[in-house]
Amino acid sequence: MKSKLRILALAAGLATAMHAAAYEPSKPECIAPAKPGGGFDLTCRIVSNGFKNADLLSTPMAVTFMPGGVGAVAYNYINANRRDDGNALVAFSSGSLLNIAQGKFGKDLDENDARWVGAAGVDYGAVIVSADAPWNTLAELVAAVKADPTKYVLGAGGGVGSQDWMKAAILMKSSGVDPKTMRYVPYEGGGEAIAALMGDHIQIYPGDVGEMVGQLEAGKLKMLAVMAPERLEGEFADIPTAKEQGFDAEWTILRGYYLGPDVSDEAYNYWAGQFDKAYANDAFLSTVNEKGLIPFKMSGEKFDSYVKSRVGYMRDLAKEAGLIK
Amino acid sequence: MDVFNHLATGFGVAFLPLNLLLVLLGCFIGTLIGSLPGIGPINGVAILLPLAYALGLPPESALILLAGVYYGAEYGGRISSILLNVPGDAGAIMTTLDGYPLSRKGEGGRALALSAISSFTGSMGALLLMVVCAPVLSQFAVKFGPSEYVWLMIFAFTCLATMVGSRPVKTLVGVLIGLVLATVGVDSGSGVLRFTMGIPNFFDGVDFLVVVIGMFAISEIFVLLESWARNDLGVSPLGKSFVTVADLLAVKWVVFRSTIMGFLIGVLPGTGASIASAVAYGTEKRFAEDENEHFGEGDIRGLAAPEAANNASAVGAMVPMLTLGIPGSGTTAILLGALMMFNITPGPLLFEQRPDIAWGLIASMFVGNIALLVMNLPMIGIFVRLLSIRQAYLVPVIAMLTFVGIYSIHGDSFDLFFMVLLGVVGFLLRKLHFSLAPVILGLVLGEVLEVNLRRALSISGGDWSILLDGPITYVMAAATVVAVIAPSLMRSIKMRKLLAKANEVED
Amino acid sequence: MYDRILAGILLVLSGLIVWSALQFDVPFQYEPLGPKAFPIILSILLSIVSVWLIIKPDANNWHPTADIMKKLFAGLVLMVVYAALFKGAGFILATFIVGGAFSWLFGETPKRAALFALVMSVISYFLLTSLLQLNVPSGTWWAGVF
Repeated sequence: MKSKLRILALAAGLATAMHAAAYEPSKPECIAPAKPGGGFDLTCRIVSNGFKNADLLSTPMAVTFMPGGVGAVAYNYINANRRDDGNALVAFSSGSLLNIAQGKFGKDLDENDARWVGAAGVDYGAVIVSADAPWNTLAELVAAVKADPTKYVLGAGGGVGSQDWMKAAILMKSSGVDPKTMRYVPYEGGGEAIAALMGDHIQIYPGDVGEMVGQLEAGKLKMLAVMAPERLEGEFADIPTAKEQGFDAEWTILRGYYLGPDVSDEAYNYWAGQFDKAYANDAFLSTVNEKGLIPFKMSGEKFDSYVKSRVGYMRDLAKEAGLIK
Repeated sequence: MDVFNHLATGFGVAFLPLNLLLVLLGCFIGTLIGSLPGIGPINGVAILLPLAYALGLPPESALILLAGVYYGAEYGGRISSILLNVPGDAGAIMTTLDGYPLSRKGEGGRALALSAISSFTGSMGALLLMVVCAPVLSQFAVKFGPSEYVWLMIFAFTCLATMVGSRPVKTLVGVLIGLVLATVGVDSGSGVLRFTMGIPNFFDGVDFLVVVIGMFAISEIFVLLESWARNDLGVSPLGKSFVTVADLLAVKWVVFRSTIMGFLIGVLPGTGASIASAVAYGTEKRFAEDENEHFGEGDIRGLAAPEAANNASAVGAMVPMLTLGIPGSGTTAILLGALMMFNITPGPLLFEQRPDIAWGLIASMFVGNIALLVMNLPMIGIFVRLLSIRQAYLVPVIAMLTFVGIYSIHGDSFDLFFMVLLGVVGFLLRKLHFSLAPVILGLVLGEVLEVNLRRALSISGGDWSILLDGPITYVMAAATVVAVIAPSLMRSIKMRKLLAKANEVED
Repeated sequence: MYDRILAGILLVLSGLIVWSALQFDVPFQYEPLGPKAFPIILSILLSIVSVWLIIKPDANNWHPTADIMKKLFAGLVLMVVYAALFKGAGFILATFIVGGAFSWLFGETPKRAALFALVMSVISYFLLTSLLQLNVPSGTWWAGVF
């Protein structure tokens, strides 16, 4: 019933949006729930610079920072103080969604406490090893790990229950190894994990495609598979997907924005409409690419339900892994 | 030689009028930002990053500006440490230990000049090391694994064991309080939330800067209030002291050792200026058990060591960032982000593909450091005058700056309340003759120790023998053993010398 | 005596740490220590040194007079008020009130303290926001008013 109402409201909103720009944010703002220079900062820059480049903003958009708990602090803040403020887009990533799925954003908050409004872009997981590692395909690597799961160490930028750990766990599960028996080392972010890979403290790094831009060229690392549904374009076009190598291991890193839970439909539809315009604009799309992401064109109610289904999927994964009951 | 050609290219870039102007500007802003309590290099770089981007500067110029702010702030942090006992940033905590007593004695000018020269020497020495052996060092940095970090932390704790404080047991309590604070937040290994009491602001742990500023700056305000109520706001004698050649000769080896230590610690990812200065201070104190040793009461060696080390570590942190694309500290992580914004990927290819950026930056750091020294020495007279400002004006300014600085980290009032609470705790601890530096160091070192110990055990699958595996661990373990027995060894050598002398006299 | 009180508090604290560490719900861990061991070891050490401190405390040499306590308490109240006002009332107003009160607390005449606080808060607001580009609150309570 509620969703039907929403659809009706959406239709009504669209109608108004078509007639005239009924809503215009007075002080558009993007809240990056991290310190400056981090991933969320880039996500916010995509909307603030991308919209500017695509001429979608009459007032420049400010970027403010609210670090803490992969977005938990910002989520709580929005829910406590700015539930209906249509000015503030907040950046999130699938790392935030994973924490929401595990109830780590606070006991009373879940994915229904925000209005998910638009995507910035996506990135995909990647299986990365040192350039002098003996394996050249995912199958060779999996065979070696299967023979002795304690011999090779996986390491990535987060602990149990984090996005990076999920990638490792999915990879192991798809090759028939119990994720609980793998050797896994958590680092503080991808940079430290790459250093550990170069120093041979770990042998396998389930990282992201985006952070490997330029690194492969240097010849110290090689990428055995991308964890994407299909092959990527450009620099990574030669790298086969895990799926085509026979392993059902996929991980999409989604980056996007949400608004407060009580934001009016006018404001919500305004932003959704702006995203639709941006997705059709080359200046915006090239900003997305510059920040190391692949464009992902989804906004409004469709995006909202997509995000909620992702959280549901993650909750199932977390249950299966024994992270939550 | 190759290096000289590269450096020549670099100086060509650094001496462009725009870049010269930017490096001077960056150093000046950095010194200013560093000297304000609560606002450190991270804020400085983060503040100027969007500005540099908006100004449309070419990438090498933007990087030169931001790097200038970074090491300028490392320079400026000492000023309020020495004069007000309030560290300007995290790397300057150890500077309060001997710097403030000096300025209480009316030797503020001497302390400021000496620390400026130590900082300068530390940076220049580290820069030379960087130019000569950056590629080797980046290899060293990646070979430094979890076990090696564990030993580094144990070594640091050993050096700190005899640190300041009225009684060893109180130092120990302080360290433990810091260590406990370090466990708050999401556990990096298991993802379990520890001691957060359900407060999301604690999910990422207790913010280091909030603890530093709360315990030092806020508690200092309480100390000033008490002195005022007792009517003994003993205004420190101003004095016209300045550093002497004898001072410089006395600390030359201290500075030399601290520069190397600071640089190496800076090169390691995850350890920065605060650890570097603590290890340098601890080591110097540990090995300087002579009759003139009065660390903690205004020993110039206790001032020179952390200052040389924190500046050297700021340079060292650039090595893994430039050569591997891995940040060596929080601030370089932001610099790295800045490079990415300009579509430049730091890493092994940076030196080959964009030598103008890599060498231009290095050359500009030489220029910047000279500029900092030249800027700072004549201004010492002005800085010292800070001491003659009446408390009725100084205290409101300190309060304002600390609140602004802490608020700007997260934009949340929660941190302000927490900072005040920590200020009360810090004040009470000080009244009970606890030194606060161990608390802070426990907080910094504890996290690195726990995380790396557990990483090492994850790699080995629970086998503790991984802690003694490989040449670096042997060396570090041996260094730790030496640090444990050194003081008693030194004493016995001294005794023997005295005995020998006594015998000679008898003969 | 104060040492003993502090040690007592620390003893209770270390007990609480152990108790709450034992409650951690750990799905699984890849090393023998896990998230519990470190805090528990620390609190055991903390309780040992606390007991030591209870047995051998330092002599008291802090004897605050009533006037000192009054001033310290006033300072604490001012800082709590500052923290409470900072975001809502905005930097300028909060700094004016608290800065003026501090200046007065340190012996300045009310008139001059107010003048100083006014000048300081206004000038530093513009310096901090324009020159340093810091995130200085302009006051959320007034957001609707202006």
